Amino acid sequence: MITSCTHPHDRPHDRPIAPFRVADRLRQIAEVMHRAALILVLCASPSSYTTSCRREAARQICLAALRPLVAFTLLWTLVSLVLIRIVMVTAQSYGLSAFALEMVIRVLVVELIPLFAALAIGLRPSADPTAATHATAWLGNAWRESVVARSVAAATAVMALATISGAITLLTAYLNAFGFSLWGLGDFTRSVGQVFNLATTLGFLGKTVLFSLTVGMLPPALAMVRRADTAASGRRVSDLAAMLLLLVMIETIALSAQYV
Amino acid sequence: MSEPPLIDDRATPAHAEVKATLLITVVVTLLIAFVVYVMFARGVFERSRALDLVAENAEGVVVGMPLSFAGFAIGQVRDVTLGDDGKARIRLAIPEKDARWLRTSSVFTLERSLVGGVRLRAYSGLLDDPQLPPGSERTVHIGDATADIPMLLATLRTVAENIEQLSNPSSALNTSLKDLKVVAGRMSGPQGVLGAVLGEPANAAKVLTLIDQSNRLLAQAEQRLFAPEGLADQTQASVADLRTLLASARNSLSTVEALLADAKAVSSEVRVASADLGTLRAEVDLSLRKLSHLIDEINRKWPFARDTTLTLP
Repeated sequence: MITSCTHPHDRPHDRPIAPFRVADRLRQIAEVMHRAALILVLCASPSSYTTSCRREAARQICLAALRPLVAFTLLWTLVSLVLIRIVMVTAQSYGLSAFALEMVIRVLVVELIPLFAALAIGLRPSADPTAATHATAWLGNAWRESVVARSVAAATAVMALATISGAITLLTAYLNAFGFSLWGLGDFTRSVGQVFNLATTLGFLGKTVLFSLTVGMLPPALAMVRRADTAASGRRVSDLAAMLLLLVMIETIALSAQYV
Repeated sequence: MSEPPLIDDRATPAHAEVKATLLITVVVTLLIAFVVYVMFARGVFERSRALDLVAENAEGVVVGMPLSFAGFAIGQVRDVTLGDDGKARIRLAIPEKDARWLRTSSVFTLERSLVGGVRLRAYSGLLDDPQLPPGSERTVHIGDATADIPMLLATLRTVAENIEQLSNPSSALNTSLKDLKVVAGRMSGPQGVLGAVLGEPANAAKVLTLIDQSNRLLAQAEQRLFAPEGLADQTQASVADLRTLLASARNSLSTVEALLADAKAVSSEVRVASADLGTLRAEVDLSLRKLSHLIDEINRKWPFARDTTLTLP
Protein backbone atom coordinates (compact mmCIF):
# COMPACT_ATOMS: atom_id res chain seq x y z
CA MET A 1 0.00 0.00 0.00
CA ILE A 2 1.14 3.50 -0.74
CA THR A 3 2.08 5.11 2.49
CA SER A 4 3.12 8.67 1.89
CA CYS A 5 4.29 11.31 -0.45
CA THR A 6 7.86 12.09 0.52
CA HIS A 7 9.16 14.10 -2.39
CA PRO A 8 11.14 17.28 -1.81
CA HIS A 9 9.86 20.69 -2.64
CA ASP A 10 11.01 22.03 -6.01
CA ARG A 11 10.23 25.71 -5.93
CA PRO A 12 11.55 27.68 -8.90
CA HIS A 13 14.02 29.74 -6.88
CA ASP A 14 15.78 26.79 -5.23
CA ARG A 15 15.72 24.27 -8.09
CA PRO A 16 19.03 22.46 -8.66
CA ILE A 17 21.22 23.20 -11.67
CA ALA A 18 20.65 21.51 -14.99
CA PRO A 19 22.23 18.05 -14.40
CA PHE A 20 20.40 17.70 -11.16
CA ARG A 21 17.16 18.91 -12.71
CA VAL A 22 17.37 16.24 -15.37
CA ALA A 23 18.07 13.59 -12.77
CA ASP A 24 15.28 14.92 -10.63
CA ARG A 25 12.90 14.90 -13.55
CA LEU A 26 13.87 11.34 -14.42
CA ARG A 27 13.35 10.34 -10.82
CA GLN A 28 9.92 11.97 -10.85
CA ILE A 29 8.99 10.13 -14.04
CA ALA A 30 10.05 6.85 -12.48
CA GLU A 31 8.03 7.72 -9.41
CA VAL A 32 4.94 8.51 -11.49
CA MET A 33 5.33 5.22 -13.35
CA HIS A 34 5.69 3.42 -10.05
CA ARG A 35 2.54 5.06 -8.65
CA ALA A 36 0.62 4.36 -11.85
CA ALA A 37 1.67 0.73 -11.64
CA LEU A 38 0.49 0.60 -8.04
CA ILE A 39 -2.87 2.05 -9.04
CA LEU A 40 -3.09 -0.48 -11.89
CA VAL A 41 -2.43 -3.26 -9.43
CA LEU A 42 -5.07 -1.86 -7.13
CA CYS A 43 -7.57 -1.70 -9.98
CA ALA A 44 -6.72 -5.23 -11.06
CA SER A 45 -7.05 -6.66 -7.57
CA PRO A 46 -10.45 -8.20 -6.88
CA SER A 47 -10.03 -7.33 -3.22
CA SER A 48 -10.24 -3.65 -4.09
CA TYR A 49 -13.80 -3.96 -5.26
CA THR A 50 -15.71 -3.89 -2.04
CA THR A 51 -19.39 -3.03 -2.03
CA SER A 52 -18.76 0.62 -1.42
CA CYS A 53 -16.01 0.63 -4.01
CA ARG A 54 -18.30 -0.94 -6.61
CA ARG A 55 -20.96 1.62 -5.77
CA GLU A 56 -18.44 4.43 -6.07
CA ALA A 57 -17.09 2.96 -9.32
CA ALA A 58 -20.60 2.78 -10.75
CA ARG A 59 -21.18 6.37 -9.76
CA GLN A 60 -17.90 7.47 -11.29
CA ILE A 61 -18.61 5.51 -14.48
CA CYS A 62 -21.94 7.28 -14.77
CA LEU A 63 -20.25 10.61 -14.26
CA ALA A 64 -17.23 9.96 -16.43
CA ALA A 65 -18.70 7.90 -19.25
CA LEU A 66 -22.45 8.35 -19.52
CA ARG A 67 -22.55 12.11 -19.21
CA PRO A 68 -20.07 12.91 -22.03
CA LEU A 69 -21.16 9.92 -24.08
CA VAL A 70 -24.10 11.55 -25.84
CA ALA A 71 -22.33 14.82 -26.53
CA PHE A 72 -19.16 13.15 -27.70
CA THR A 73 -21.02 10.67 -29.87
CA LEU A 74 -23.13 13.35 -31.51
CA LEU A 75 -20.14 15.60 -32.09
CA TRP A 76 -18.01 12.80 -33.43
CA THR A 77 -20.82 11.57 -35.68
CA LEU A 78 -21.09 15.04 -37.17
CA VAL A 79 -17.34 15.31 -37.67
CA SER A 80 -17.05 11.82 -39.13
CA LEU A 81 -20.00 12.48 -41.42
CA VAL A 82 -18.27 15.53 -42.87
CA LEU A 83 -14.89 13.79 -43.15
CA ILE A 84 -16.36 10.66 -44.70
CA ARG A 85 -18.31 12.71 -47.23
CA ILE A 86 -15.22 14.70 -48.18
CA VAL A 87 -13.11 11.57 -48.58
CA MET A 88 -15.77 9.72 -50.55
CA VAL A 89 -16.46 12.55 -52.96
CA THR A 90 -12.77 13.31 -53.45
CA ALA A 91 -11.90 9.67 -54.02
CA GLN A 92 -14.79 9.29 -56.43
CA SER A 93 -13.70 12.30 -58.44
CA TYR A 94 -10.24 10.79 -58.80
CA GLY A 95 -11.55 7.34 -59.63
CA LEU A 96 -10.31 5.87 -56.38
CA SER A 97 -13.63 5.09 -54.74
CA ALA A 98 -12.52 1.51 -54.19
CA PHE A 99 -9.98 2.78 -51.67
CA ALA A 100 -12.13 5.45 -50.02
CA LEU A 101 -13.93 3.11 -47.66
CA GLU A 102 -10.68 1.50 -46.58
CA MET A 103 -9.13 4.89 -45.99
CA VAL A 104 -12.10 6.08 -43.94
CA ILE A 105 -12.01 3.01 -41.73
CA ARG A 106 -8.27 3.20 -41.32
CA VAL A 107 -8.09 6.89 -40.53
CA LEU A 108 -11.23 7.45 -38.49
CA VAL A 109 -11.89 4.19 -36.70
CA VAL A 110 -8.38 2.88 -36.20
CA GLU A 111 -6.43 6.07 -35.66
CA LEU A 112 -8.55 9.04 -34.65
CA ILE A 113 -11.40 7.70 -32.54
CA PRO A 114 -9.31 6.12 -29.74
CA LEU A 115 -7.11 9.20 -29.53
CA PHE A 116 -10.01 11.62 -29.46
CA ALA A 117 -11.91 9.51 -26.94
CA ALA A 118 -8.88 9.49 -24.66
CA LEU A 119 -8.43 13.24 -25.05
CA ALA A 120 -12.11 13.89 -24.38
CA ILE A 121 -12.03 11.91 -21.14
CA GLY A 122 -8.53 12.82 -20.01
CA LEU A 123 -8.83 16.55 -20.61
CA ARG A 124 -12.38 17.02 -19.37
CA PRO A 125 -12.66 19.74 -16.72
CA SER A 126 -14.29 17.48 -14.13
CA ALA A 127 -11.46 14.96 -14.25
CA ASP A 128 -9.65 16.38 -11.27
CA PRO A 129 -7.91 13.61 -9.39
CA THR A 130 -6.84 15.91 -6.61
CA ALA A 131 -10.23 15.44 -5.03
CA ALA A 132 -9.20 11.92 -4.20
CA THR A 133 -5.64 12.73 -3.24
CA HIS A 134 -6.18 15.86 -1.28
CA ALA A 135 -4.11 16.70 1.72
CA THR A 136 -3.51 13.72 3.92
CA ALA A 137 -5.87 11.36 2.16
CA TRP A 138 -3.11 9.00 1.02
CA LEU A 139 -4.08 6.34 3.44
CA GLY A 140 -7.28 4.51 4.13
CA ASN A 141 -10.01 2.69 2.31
CA ALA A 142 -11.84 5.81 1.20
CA TRP A 143 -8.82 7.02 -0.74
CA ARG A 144 -8.20 3.61 -2.18
CA GLU A 145 -11.82 3.19 -3.25
CA SER A 146 -11.92 6.66 -4.70
CA VAL A 147 -8.74 6.20 -6.73
CA VAL A 148 -9.79 2.77 -7.94
CA ALA A 149 -13.26 4.01 -8.82
CA ARG A 150 -12.03 7.08 -10.65
CA SER A 151 -9.32 5.18 -12.54
CA VAL A 152 -11.64 2.39 -13.55
CA ALA A 153 -14.31 4.90 -14.52
CA ALA A 154 -11.92 6.91 -16.69
CA ALA A 155 -10.56 3.80 -18.39
CA THR A 156 -14.07 2.46 -18.94
CA ALA A 157 -15.19 5.80 -20.30
CA VAL A 158 -12.40 5.81 -22.88
CA MET A 159 -13.26 2.28 -23.94
CA ALA A 160 -16.97 3.11 -24.10
CA LEU A 161 -16.51 6.26 -26.14
CA ALA A 162 -14.07 4.60 -28.52
CA THR A 163 -16.21 1.51 -28.99
CA ILE A 164 -19.56 3.23 -29.42
CA SER A 165 -18.14 6.00 -31.61
CA GLY A 166 -16.29 3.42 -33.70
CA ALA A 167 -19.48 1.46 -34.27
CA ILE A 168 -21.38 4.62 -35.21
CA THR A 169 -18.59 5.70 -37.54
CA LEU A 170 -18.64 2.33 -39.28
CA LEU A 171 -22.39 2.66 -39.69
CA THR A 172 -22.02 6.20 -41.01
CA ALA A 173 -19.37 5.11 -43.47
CA TYR A 174 -21.59 2.31 -44.75
CA LEU A 175 -24.58 4.62 -45.16
CA ASN A 176 -22.42 7.15 -46.97
CA ALA A 177 -21.02 4.57 -49.33
CA PHE A 178 -24.04 2.37 -50.00
CA GLY A 179 -27.09 4.18 -48.67
CA PHE A 180 -29.97 2.60 -46.83
CA SER A 181 -29.69 -0.86 -48.36
CA LEU A 182 -27.93 -4.10 -47.66
CA TRP A 183 -26.50 -4.70 -51.09
CA GLY A 184 -23.09 -3.29 -50.14
CA LEU A 185 -22.69 -5.35 -47.01
CA GLY A 186 -20.36 -7.81 -48.73
CA ASP A 187 -18.07 -5.12 -50.09
CA PHE A 188 -18.13 -3.28 -46.77
CA THR A 189 -17.31 -6.45 -44.83
CA ARG A 190 -14.47 -7.19 -47.20
CA SER A 191 -13.08 -3.68 -46.75
CA VAL A 192 -13.29 -4.04 -42.99
CA GLY A 193 -11.57 -7.40 -43.21
CA GLN A 194 -8.88 -5.97 -45.42
CA VAL A 195 -8.15 -3.16 -42.95
CA PHE A 196 -8.37 -5.18 -39.77
CA ASN A 197 -5.74 -7.82 -40.31
CA LEU A 198 -4.27 -9.43 -37.24
CA ALA A 199 -1.60 -6.79 -36.69
CA THR A 200 -3.99 -3.87 -37.15
CA THR A 201 -6.64 -5.41 -34.92
CA LEU A 202 -4.18 -6.14 -32.15
CA GLY A 203 -2.66 -2.69 -32.56
CA PHE A 204 -6.07 -1.04 -32.45
CA LEU A 205 -7.20 -2.91 -29.36
CA GLY A 206 -3.84 -2.55 -27.65
CA LYS A 207 -3.68 1.14 -28.40
CA THR A 208 -7.19 1.69 -27.06
CA VAL A 209 -6.35 -0.22 -23.88
CA LEU A 210 -3.16 1.80 -23.42
CA PHE A 211 -5.09 5.03 -23.90
CA SER A 212 -7.60 3.86 -21.31
CA LEU A 213 -4.88 2.99 -18.84
CA THR A 214 -3.12 6.28 -19.45
CA VAL A 215 -6.27 8.32 -18.88
CA GLY A 216 -7.23 6.19 -15.89
CA MET A 217 -3.92 5.78 -14.08
CA LEU A 218 -1.77 8.78 -14.98
CA PRO A 219 -3.74 11.64 -13.33
CA PRO A 220 -3.94 10.05 -9.83
CA ALA A 221 -0.31 8.96 -10.11
CA LEU A 222 0.74 12.49 -10.98
CA ALA A 223 -1.37 13.87 -8.17
CA MET A 224 0.20 11.44 -5.75
CA VAL A 225 3.69 12.45 -6.74
CA ARG A 226 2.82 16.12 -6.64
CA ARG A 227 3.38 18.07 -3.50
CA ALA A 228 0.51 18.37 -1.14
CA ASP A 229 0.43 22.15 -1.15
CA THR A 230 0.26 22.46 -4.93
CA ALA A 231 -2.29 19.70 -5.12
CA ALA A 232 -4.72 21.90 -3.35
CA SER A 233 -4.62 24.40 -6.17
CA GLY A 234 -6.17 21.94 -8.54
CA ARG A 235 -4.98 20.22 -11.62
CA ARG A 236 -1.79 21.60 -13.05
CA VAL A 237 -1.25 22.34 -16.71
CA SER A 238 1.89 20.21 -16.61
CA ASP A 239 -0.24 17.19 -15.72
CA LEU A 240 -2.39 17.73 -18.78
CA ALA A 241 0.69 18.25 -20.90
CA ALA A 242 2.22 15.06 -19.54
CA MET A 243 -0.90 13.08 -20.33
CA LEU A 244 -1.17 14.62 -23.79
CA LEU A 245 2.48 13.82 -24.44
CA LEU A 246 2.01 10.24 -23.35
CA LEU A 247 -1.07 9.81 -25.52
CA VAL A 248 0.71 11.23 -28.55
CA MET A 249 3.71 8.99 -27.85
CA ILE A 250 1.48 5.92 -27.76
CA GLU A 251 -0.19 6.99 -31.00
CA THR A 252 3.16 7.64 -32.64
CA ILE A 253 4.57 4.29 -31.55
CA ALA A 254 1.44 2.54 -32.82
CA LEU A 255 1.67 4.32 -36.16
CA SER A 256 5.36 3.54 -36.46
CA ALA A 257 4.81 -0.11 -35.62
CA GLN A 258 2.11 -0.43 -38.22
CA TYR A 259 3.22 1.67 -41.14
CA VAL A 260 6.98 2.10 -40.87
CA MET B 1 -6.14 8.53 11.43
CA SER B 2 -9.63 9.38 10.37
CA GLU B 3 -10.57 9.04 6.73
CA PRO B 4 -11.44 12.40 5.16
CA PRO B 5 -14.69 12.59 3.27
CA LEU B 6 -14.45 12.35 -0.48
CA ILE B 7 -14.74 15.68 -2.12
CA ASP B 8 -17.30 15.57 -4.91
CA ASP B 9 -19.94 18.17 -5.26
CA ARG B 10 -21.92 16.29 -7.85
CA ALA B 11 -24.92 14.27 -6.89
CA THR B 12 -24.99 10.53 -7.37
CA PRO B 13 -26.89 9.62 -10.52
CA ALA B 14 -30.00 7.55 -10.12
CA HIS B 15 -29.56 3.82 -10.67
CA ALA B 16 -25.86 4.33 -11.10
CA GLU B 17 -24.98 0.68 -10.73
CA VAL B 18 -27.57 -0.40 -13.32
CA LYS B 19 -26.44 2.22 -15.76
CA ALA B 20 -22.79 1.34 -15.25
CA THR B 21 -23.50 -2.34 -15.67
CA LEU B 22 -25.50 -1.64 -18.80
CA LEU B 23 -22.75 0.51 -20.23
CA ILE B 24 -20.08 -2.07 -19.54
CA THR B 25 -22.29 -4.77 -21.03
CA VAL B 26 -22.84 -2.71 -24.16
CA VAL B 27 -19.13 -2.00 -24.49
CA VAL B 28 -18.13 -5.61 -23.97
CA THR B 29 -20.83 -6.77 -26.38
CA LEU B 30 -19.67 -4.29 -28.99
CA LEU B 31 -16.07 -5.39 -28.55
CA ILE B 32 -16.96 -9.06 -28.88
CA ALA B 33 -19.19 -8.32 -31.85
CA PHE B 34 -16.41 -6.31 -33.44
CA VAL B 35 -13.90 -9.11 -33.02
CA VAL B 36 -16.37 -11.68 -34.37
CA TYR B 37 -17.25 -9.41 -37.29
CA VAL B 38 -13.60 -8.88 -38.13
CA MET B 39 -13.01 -12.63 -37.95
CA PHE B 40 -16.00 -13.13 -40.25
CA ALA B 41 -14.71 -10.46 -42.59
CA ARG B 42 -11.33 -12.15 -42.64
CA GLY B 43 -13.03 -15.38 -43.65
CA VAL B 44 -12.26 -17.32 -40.49
CA PHE B 45 -15.70 -18.96 -40.40
CA GLU B 46 -15.89 -19.65 -44.10
CA ARG B 47 -14.88 -22.85 -45.85
CA SER B 48 -12.58 -22.05 -48.68
CA ARG B 49 -10.31 -23.74 -51.13
CA ALA B 50 -6.76 -22.72 -51.91
CA LEU B 51 -5.54 -21.42 -55.23
CA ASP B 52 -1.92 -20.62 -56.00
CA LEU B 53 -1.09 -18.00 -58.57
CA VAL B 54 2.47 -17.84 -59.85
CA ALA B 55 3.64 -14.40 -60.93
CA GLU B 56 6.91 -13.01 -62.21
CA ASN B 57 6.50 -10.03 -59.95
CA ALA B 58 4.11 -9.68 -57.03
CA GLU B 59 4.90 -6.07 -56.26
CA GLY B 60 1.85 -4.36 -54.79
CA VAL B 61 0.09 -7.58 -53.85
CA VAL B 62 -0.84 -7.52 -50.18
CA VAL B 63 -2.51 -10.00 -47.93
CA GLY B 64 -6.24 -9.41 -47.85
CA MET B 65 -6.60 -7.91 -51.32
CA PRO B 66 -9.51 -9.37 -53.26
CA LEU B 67 -9.63 -11.51 -56.36
CA SER B 68 -12.42 -10.09 -58.47
CA PHE B 69 -14.53 -11.80 -61.07
CA ALA B 70 -16.90 -9.70 -63.16
CA GLY B 71 -16.48 -6.89 -60.65
CA PHE B 72 -17.27 -9.02 -57.61
CA ALA B 73 -14.75 -10.20 -55.07
CA ILE B 74 -14.68 -13.98 -55.02
CA GLY B 75 -11.54 -14.55 -52.99
CA GLN B 76 -8.79 -13.03 -50.92
CA VAL B 77 -5.03 -13.17 -50.90
CA ARG B 78 -3.92 -15.12 -47.88
CA ASP B 79 -0.19 -15.28 -48.40
CA VAL B 80 2.53 -14.07 -50.74
CA THR B 81 5.79 -15.98 -50.83
CA LEU B 82 8.84 -16.21 -53.02
CA GLY B 83 9.22 -19.67 -54.49
CA ASP B 84 12.38 -21.65 -55.09
CA ASP B 85 12.14 -20.87 -58.79
CA GLY B 86 12.40 -17.14 -58.05
CA LYS B 87 8.76 -16.53 -58.85
CA ALA B 88 6.18 -15.07 -56.49
CA ARG B 89 3.49 -17.42 -55.30
CA ILE B 90 0.23 -15.74 -54.35
CA ARG B 91 -1.96 -18.01 -52.27
CA LEU B 92 -5.65 -17.19 -52.43
CA ALA B 93 -8.57 -18.47 -50.43
CA ILE B 94 -11.66 -18.94 -52.57
CA PRO B 95 -14.89 -19.46 -50.60
CA GLU B 96 -16.70 -22.62 -51.58
CA LYS B 97 -19.78 -20.69 -52.67
CA ASP B 98 -17.74 -18.66 -55.14
CA ALA B 99 -15.48 -21.46 -56.36
CA ARG B 100 -17.93 -22.29 -59.16
CA TRP B 101 -16.86 -19.18 -61.03
CA LEU B 102 -13.37 -20.51 -61.50
CA ARG B 103 -12.96 -23.11 -64.24
CA THR B 104 -10.00 -24.99 -65.61
CA SER B 105 -9.91 -22.56 -68.51
CA SER B 106 -10.00 -19.46 -66.31
CA VAL B 107 -7.38 -16.79 -66.88
CA PHE B 108 -5.91 -14.74 -64.04
CA THR B 109 -4.44 -11.28 -64.44
CA LEU B 110 -2.55 -8.93 -62.18
CA GLU B 111 -3.18 -5.38 -63.33
CA ARG B 112 -1.22 -2.37 -62.27
CA SER B 113 -2.53 1.07 -63.03
CA LEU B 114 -0.84 4.44 -62.86
CA VAL B 115 -3.01 5.44 -59.92
CA GLY B 116 -4.14 3.13 -57.14
CA GLY B 117 -3.09 -0.34 -56.17
CA VAL B 118 -2.84 -3.55 -58.13
CA ARG B 119 -5.88 -5.67 -58.93
CA LEU B 120 -6.21 -9.39 -59.26
CA ARG B 121 -8.88 -10.44 -61.73
CA ALA B 122 -10.19 -13.76 -62.95
CA TYR B 123 -11.80 -14.34 -66.33
CA SER B 124 -13.81 -17.48 -67.06
CA GLY B 125 -14.92 -17.54 -70.65
CA LEU B 126 -16.20 -21.11 -70.70
CA LEU B 127 -18.38 -21.75 -67.68
CA ASP B 128 -19.15 -25.26 -68.97
CA ASP B 129 -15.59 -26.37 -68.31
CA PRO B 130 -14.82 -28.39 -65.15
CA GLN B 131 -14.36 -26.47 -61.93
CA LEU B 132 -10.89 -25.54 -60.81
CA PRO B 133 -9.82 -28.24 -58.34
CA PRO B 134 -8.64 -27.21 -54.85
CA GLY B 135 -4.95 -26.46 -54.54
CA SER B 136 -4.59 -25.65 -58.23
CA GLU B 137 -1.71 -23.62 -59.48
CA ARG B 138 -2.07 -21.14 -62.29
CA THR B 139 0.16 -18.56 -63.90
CA VAL B 140 -1.01 -15.01 -63.54
CA HIS B 141 -0.64 -12.64 -66.46
CA ILE B 142 0.70 -9.24 -65.55
CA GLY B 143 -0.69 -6.11 -67.15
CA ASP B 144 1.41 -3.20 -66.04
CA ALA B 145 0.40 0.27 -67.18
CA THR B 146 3.61 1.63 -65.73
CA ALA B 147 5.81 -0.74 -67.72
CA ASP B 148 5.81 1.63 -70.66
CA ILE B 149 6.99 4.54 -68.55
CA PRO B 150 10.75 3.85 -69.00
CA MET B 151 10.30 3.63 -72.76
CA LEU B 152 8.18 6.76 -72.64
CA LEU B 153 10.87 8.53 -70.66
CA ALA B 154 13.53 7.43 -73.14
CA THR B 155 11.39 8.75 -75.98
CA LEU B 156 10.82 12.00 -74.13
CA ARG B 157 14.54 12.31 -73.57
CA THR B 158 15.16 11.84 -77.28
CA VAL B 159 12.50 14.45 -78.04
CA ALA B 160 14.10 16.82 -75.54
CA GLU B 161 17.51 16.30 -77.17
CA ASN B 162 16.02 16.95 -80.57
CA ILE B 163 14.40 20.12 -79.29
CA GLU B 164 17.71 21.15 -77.78
CA GLN B 165 19.43 20.57 -81.10
CA LEU B 166 16.73 22.52 -82.86
CA SER B 167 17.06 25.41 -80.45
CA ASN B 168 20.85 25.47 -80.76
CA PRO B 169 22.04 28.81 -82.28
CA SER B 170 24.01 26.90 -84.93
CA SER B 171 21.18 24.50 -85.72
CA ALA B 172 19.69 24.14 -89.16
CA LEU B 173 16.38 25.51 -87.93
CA ASN B 174 17.99 28.65 -86.59
CA THR B 175 19.97 29.11 -89.80
CA SER B 176 16.80 28.65 -91.81
CA LEU B 177 15.02 31.15 -89.64
CA LYS B 178 17.83 33.64 -90.16
CA ASP B 179 17.66 33.13 -93.91
CA LEU B 180 13.92 33.47 -93.74
CA LYS B 181 14.37 36.70 -91.88
CA VAL B 182 16.65 37.98 -94.63
CA VAL B 183 14.14 36.91 -97.26
CA ALA B 184 11.34 38.60 -95.31
CA GLY B 185 13.44 41.76 -95.15
CA ARG B 186 13.93 41.70 -98.88
CA MET B 187 10.22 41.03 -99.39
CA SER B 188 9.43 44.14 -97.42
CA GLY B 189 11.90 46.14 -99.57
CA PRO B 190 11.09 48.20 -102.71
CA GLN B 191 11.47 45.20 -105.02
CA GLY B 192 8.98 43.12 -102.95
CA VAL B 193 8.79 39.41 -103.54
CA LEU B 194 10.85 39.70 -106.73
CA GLY B 195 13.71 41.15 -104.82
CA ALA B 196 13.51 38.25 -102.33
CA VAL B 197 13.33 35.63 -105.07
CA LEU B 198 15.93 37.02 -107.46
CA GLY B 199 18.30 38.41 -104.90
CA GLU B 200 19.77 41.29 -106.98
CA PRO B 201 17.79 44.49 -107.70
CA ALA B 202 19.09 44.50 -111.31
CA ASN B 203 17.55 41.14 -111.97
CA ALA B 204 14.27 42.34 -110.53
CA ALA B 205 14.43 45.38 -112.84
CA LYS B 206 15.01 43.06 -115.80
CA VAL B 207 11.98 41.03 -114.82
CA LEU B 208 9.89 44.17 -114.54
CA THR B 209 11.06 45.33 -117.94
CA LEU B 210 10.24 41.91 -119.32
CA ILE B 211 6.79 42.17 -117.83
CA ASP B 212 6.27 45.58 -119.43
CA GLN B 213 7.37 44.24 -122.78
CA SER B 214 5.08 41.31 -122.36
CA ASN B 215 2.23 43.66 -121.61
CA ARG B 216 2.90 45.64 -124.73
CA LEU B 217 3.16 42.47 -126.76
CA LEU B 218 -0.09 41.26 -125.34
CA ALA B 219 -1.77 44.57 -126.23
CA GLN B 220 -0.53 44.32 -129.77
CA ALA B 221 -1.59 40.74 -130.04
CA GLU B 222 -4.97 41.64 -128.71
CA GLN B 223 -5.25 44.38 -131.25
CA ARG B 224 -4.33 41.98 -134.05
CA LEU B 225 -6.52 39.28 -132.82
CA PHE B 226 -9.68 40.98 -131.73
CA ALA B 227 -9.79 44.12 -133.84
CA PRO B 228 -12.48 44.38 -136.59
CA GLU B 229 -11.36 42.24 -139.53
CA GLY B 230 -8.73 40.93 -137.21
CA LEU B 231 -7.28 37.48 -137.03
CA ALA B 232 -10.09 36.26 -134.88
CA ASP B 233 -12.77 37.45 -137.31
CA GLN B 234 -10.91 36.01 -140.23
CA THR B 235 -10.53 32.77 -138.48
CA GLN B 236 -14.20 32.77 -137.67
CA ALA B 237 -15.03 33.40 -141.37
CA SER B 238 -12.61 30.67 -142.35
CA VAL B 239 -14.32 28.35 -140.00
CA ALA B 240 -17.69 29.22 -141.61
CA ASP B 241 -16.24 28.56 -145.03
CA LEU B 242 -14.77 25.39 -143.84
CA ARG B 243 -18.16 24.38 -142.52
CA THR B 244 -19.63 25.04 -146.00
CA LEU B 245 -16.85 23.11 -147.60
CA LEU B 246 -17.48 20.25 -145.30
CA ALA B 247 -21.17 20.25 -146.24
CA SER B 248 -20.22 20.19 -149.91
CA ALA B 249 -17.75 17.43 -149.28
CA ARG B 250 -20.45 15.55 -147.44
CA ASN B 251 -22.73 15.88 -150.54
CA SER B 252 -19.92 14.81 -152.81
CA LEU B 253 -19.25 11.83 -150.67
CA SER B 254 -22.97 10.94 -150.88
CA THR B 255 -22.78 11.13 -154.66
CA VAL B 256 -19.63 9.03 -154.67
CA GLU B 257 -21.34 6.59 -152.43
CA ALA B 258 -24.27 6.35 -154.91
CA LEU B 259 -21.83 5.92 -157.79
CA LEU B 260 -20.07 3.19 -155.93
CA ALA B 261 -23.40 1.50 -155.40
CA ASP B 262 -24.11 1.71 -159.12
CA ALA B 263 -20.63 0.45 -159.90
CA LYS B 264 -21.22 -2.39 -157.60
CA ALA B 265 -24.44 -3.23 -159.41
CA VAL B 266 -22.68 -2.91 -162.77
CA SER B 267 -19.85 -5.08 -161.66
CA SER B 268 -22.33 -7.72 -160.58
CA GLU B 269 -24.01 -7.55 -163.97
CA VAL B 270 -20.64 -7.69 -165.70
CA ARG B 271 -19.84 -10.75 -163.64
CA VAL B 272 -23.06 -12.38 -164.95
CA ALA B 273 -22.28 -11.25 -168.47
CA SER B 274 -18.76 -12.59 -168.25
CA ALA B 275 -20.24 -15.88 -167.21
CA ASP B 276 -22.38 -15.97 -170.43
CA LEU B 277 -19.43 -14.83 -172.57
CA GLY B 278 -17.85 -18.26 -172.59
CA THR B 279 -20.99 -19.78 -174.03
CA LEU B 280 -21.21 -17.01 -176.55
CA ARG B 281 -17.62 -17.54 -177.53
CA ALA B 282 -18.15 -21.23 -177.99
CA GLU B 283 -21.15 -20.49 -180.16
CA VAL B 284 -19.15 -17.93 -182.10
CA ASP B 285 -16.32 -20.43 -182.52
CA LEU B 286 -18.79 -22.99 -183.76
CA SER B 287 -20.33 -20.52 -186.17
CA LEU B 288 -16.88 -19.50 -187.41
CA ARG B 289 -15.88 -23.09 -187.91
CA LYS B 290 -19.11 -23.68 -189.80
CA LEU B 291 -18.50 -20.56 -191.87
CA SER B 292 -14.94 -21.68 -192.60
CA HIS B 293 -16.16 -25.04 -193.60
CA LEU B 294 -18.78 -23.38 -195.86
CA ILE B 295 -16.15 -21.23 -197.48
CA ASP B 296 -14.02 -24.27 -198.06
CA GLU B 297 -16.94 -25.97 -199.65
CA ILE B 298 -17.62 -22.99 -201.83
CA ASN B 299 -13.99 -22.88 -202.91
CA ARG B 300 -14.12 -26.43 -203.93
CA LYS B 301 -17.13 -25.71 -206.09
CA TRP B 302 -17.11 -24.15 -209.59
CA PRO B 303 -16.01 -21.35 -210.63
CA PHE B 304 -13.94 -21.07 -207.57
CA ALA B 305 -12.44 -24.51 -207.90
CA ARG B 306 -8.72 -24.61 -208.39
CA ASP B 307 -6.24 -27.19 -208.50
CA THR B 308 -4.95 -27.77 -205.18
CA THR B 309 -2.62 -30.51 -206.25
CA LEU B 310 0.99 -29.80 -206.00
CA THR B 311 3.22 -31.09 -208.74
CA LEU B 312 6.67 -31.84 -207.77
CA PRO B 313 9.43 -31.12 -210.27
